[in-house]
Amino acid sequence: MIPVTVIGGYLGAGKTTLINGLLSAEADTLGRRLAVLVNDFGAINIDAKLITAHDGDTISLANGCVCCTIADALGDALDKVLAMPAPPDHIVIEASGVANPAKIAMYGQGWPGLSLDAIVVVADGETVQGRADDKFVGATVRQQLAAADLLIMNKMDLLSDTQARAAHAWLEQQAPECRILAARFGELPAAVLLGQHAAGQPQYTDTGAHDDYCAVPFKTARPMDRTRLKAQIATWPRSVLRAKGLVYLHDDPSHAYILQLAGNRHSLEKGPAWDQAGPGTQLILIGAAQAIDPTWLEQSLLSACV
Amino acid sequence: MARNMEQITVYPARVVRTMEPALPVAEAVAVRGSQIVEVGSLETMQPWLAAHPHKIDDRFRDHVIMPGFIDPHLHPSMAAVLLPMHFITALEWHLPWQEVPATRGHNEFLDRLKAIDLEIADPEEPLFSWGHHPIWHGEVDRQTLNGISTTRPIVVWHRGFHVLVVNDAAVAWMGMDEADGERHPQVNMAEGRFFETGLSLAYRYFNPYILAPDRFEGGLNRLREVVHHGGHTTIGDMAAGMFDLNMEWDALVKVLERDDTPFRVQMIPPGFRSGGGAVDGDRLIERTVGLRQRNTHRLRFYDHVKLFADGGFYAGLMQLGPPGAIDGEAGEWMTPPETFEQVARVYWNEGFKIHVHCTGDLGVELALDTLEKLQWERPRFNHRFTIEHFGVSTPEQVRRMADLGALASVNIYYVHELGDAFWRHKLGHERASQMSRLGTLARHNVTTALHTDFTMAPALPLNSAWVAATRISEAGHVMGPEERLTLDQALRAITIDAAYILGLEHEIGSIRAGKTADFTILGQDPYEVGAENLREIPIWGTVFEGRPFPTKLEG
Ligand SMILES: [Zn+2]
Repeated sequence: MIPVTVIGGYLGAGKTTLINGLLSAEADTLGRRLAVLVNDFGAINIDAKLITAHDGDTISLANGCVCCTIADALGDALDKVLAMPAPPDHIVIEASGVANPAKIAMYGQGWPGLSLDAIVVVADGETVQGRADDKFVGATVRQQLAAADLLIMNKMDLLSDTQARAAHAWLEQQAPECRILAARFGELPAAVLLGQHAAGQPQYTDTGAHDDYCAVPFKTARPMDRTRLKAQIATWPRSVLRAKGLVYLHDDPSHAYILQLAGNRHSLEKGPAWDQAGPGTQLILIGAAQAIDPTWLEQSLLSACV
Repeated sequence: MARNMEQITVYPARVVRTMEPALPVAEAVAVRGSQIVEVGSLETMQPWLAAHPHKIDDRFRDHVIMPGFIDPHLHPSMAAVLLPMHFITALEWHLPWQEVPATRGHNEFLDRLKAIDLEIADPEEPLFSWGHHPIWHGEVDRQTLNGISTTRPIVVWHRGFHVLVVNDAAVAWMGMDEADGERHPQVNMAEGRFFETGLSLAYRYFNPYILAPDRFEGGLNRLREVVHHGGHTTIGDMAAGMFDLNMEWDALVKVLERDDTPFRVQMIPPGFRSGGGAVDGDRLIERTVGLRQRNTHRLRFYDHVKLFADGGFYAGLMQLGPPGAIDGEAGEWMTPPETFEQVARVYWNEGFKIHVHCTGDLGVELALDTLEKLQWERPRFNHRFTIEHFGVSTPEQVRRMADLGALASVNIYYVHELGDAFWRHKLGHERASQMSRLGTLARHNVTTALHTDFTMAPALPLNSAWVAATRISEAGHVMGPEERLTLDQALRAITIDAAYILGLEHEIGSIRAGKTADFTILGQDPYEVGAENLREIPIWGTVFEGRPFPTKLEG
């Protein structure tokens, strides 16, 4: 199944800049071909913009009509992507500025061939508090923030340190469980935004030139206890943004289990049988460089082993 | 000398209700070609008759002639999807091909479904039913429907389109992978139930069937009959091209642009179809104006455009101002408020007549804030900025509408169908009883039309006028008596004032010399039977552009 990342947030928060960053020539998408679906004026057009650098497509789609729900432009666009001769490795949907991203994310939770990676919500650090009090869009903005697995506080370049701290504290109040990341110009590494590549064994890549984030690899040949692992994940600090990899479980030693974590959201699903190399857990955790404690995380994971 | 040698036809009637205050009641109307030459009595129109060949046509001698009814906001394409389905509804529906009785009770619903199953000859033909409502019919699920048939695909569609339920045969027919349904948060595969966003998954498999050109055209043919039987001679397609403009346009022209179609369709396209993105004004205008090249005699794009503020009323997605909804649910914006303003400015500055879908009072507020800004920047008179639907509003907003020159096109059926439910679950009694506040609009002289948004309400103008003048809910309560219209106001709202909303008041909407000869022919006089009996008045048929179109074959 192709993972889907939904990028939400109010108009002008910087969603498009963030996505353009992913599609830019310099971006390291970890070898993935991306398809990006954006809300834009006009009809659905798969050939709208071909980004050869990453062989990714941008697909424009119109909003469905109000008076009926039968017309489903997004579903049609997703089917077109799935029907492409070489389907992408990852789909990014830019939700409209007033959409509830949780609703868009439902497409990753039941549409044939798709799985939900995460809901990433971008907030304009400078204006989000004002918007959240706006008589027209206040409720919409708060709903968007509440839907986030990863919350990106953008346009930090426009804020003083004091302002940044205040904005951060306010966002923490709005989304107390959520991981909050600071960004300038929407720049964030693909490994944080989209997670690690799904295909095959996880590769130990670093997260690129962004010193703010680091990858913590973990490897063990010892089997893990499912319940203990879940209990440990629940104790991980908010500085852990992403985790992905294969897990060797004590209760089903013949199959690899795929762990995926994106902010608050995580899943542990049955994967293929182990190959000749034999069973063994291999994970990569990605977190905020200043805050993450690799030794602590390693201890946490080891304590889940049998 | 004579510019038009065509013969004049004089229709004497029991009474002609012209809807012209200057001459409200007449005895006969004289028509030449598609035009009215005089309304009055046989005596007063003698100079015309002496000067030109004429005949007296007595067929309406015992009937009442009114201006042709106008519904300025309905959705032919949505109707084309719905009308091929089998109606099983809690309220009765009068369809030209069928009287749909009121079906109430769980067993009664299932009995009706079973009867339809037995009536369909082809054992493979899917059975789509519409109108299920748990309040009346109880819950049905996959097992219940398997009890009706294990071989025929059955799809039971909720009245408000928010839930549908399927049987085993339908799941097999759809060809969907049950595992996809099982992992979807808004699909319950065991119960065969798809709701909210889960519906998209079901449509994925249904749409090729329900939007197939043959079935769609069949649906449009039925729509044609519905519109005629309701007594309409003009309708507005208030979001033309909702599925796929080219596919719909081809079907509309094929089915409706025929000599025997007794009505015209004013096409009002959406001015902007997006949840955001950049607004390219030149491109919007070029595209919207370009649509007029398609125009035919009956189907016409012109200088009207539709914009959207907040979400759907039946879906409960209206944006409410304080104190919000009882259930605490937030509404939705169809267009981001900033984008809405930009797009509205583009069309305002080009002189367009803008119709705005507004369902909640916050939606109305956005539309009026925007209108006030635009009036400040570039004042316009006679701009016809129209609030469409007008579910929840405040009295102060109506006053502001009057100040700003805004008009209203109101879905009054909300009061009838949703009044009780929104009283108990959404708004409380005070606000639910004042939904679609027509009385206040009338007190402020805001020109107001009634519409059905068909398929949201039955496409029966006299039924709309009945609700407007009585405000009787489906449970029989009078909801907000101060917001009733008088009988005359209600009838204006389906004739001359509806024409004004569509910008056609100089051509249609009343009976006077020079206007198009569009009439609705009634079996009784609405002013005699009174507001309570409006919806029972039999409709003989219509006259469209001077030609009589009975709903049944005469003789
Ligand atoms: Zn509508």
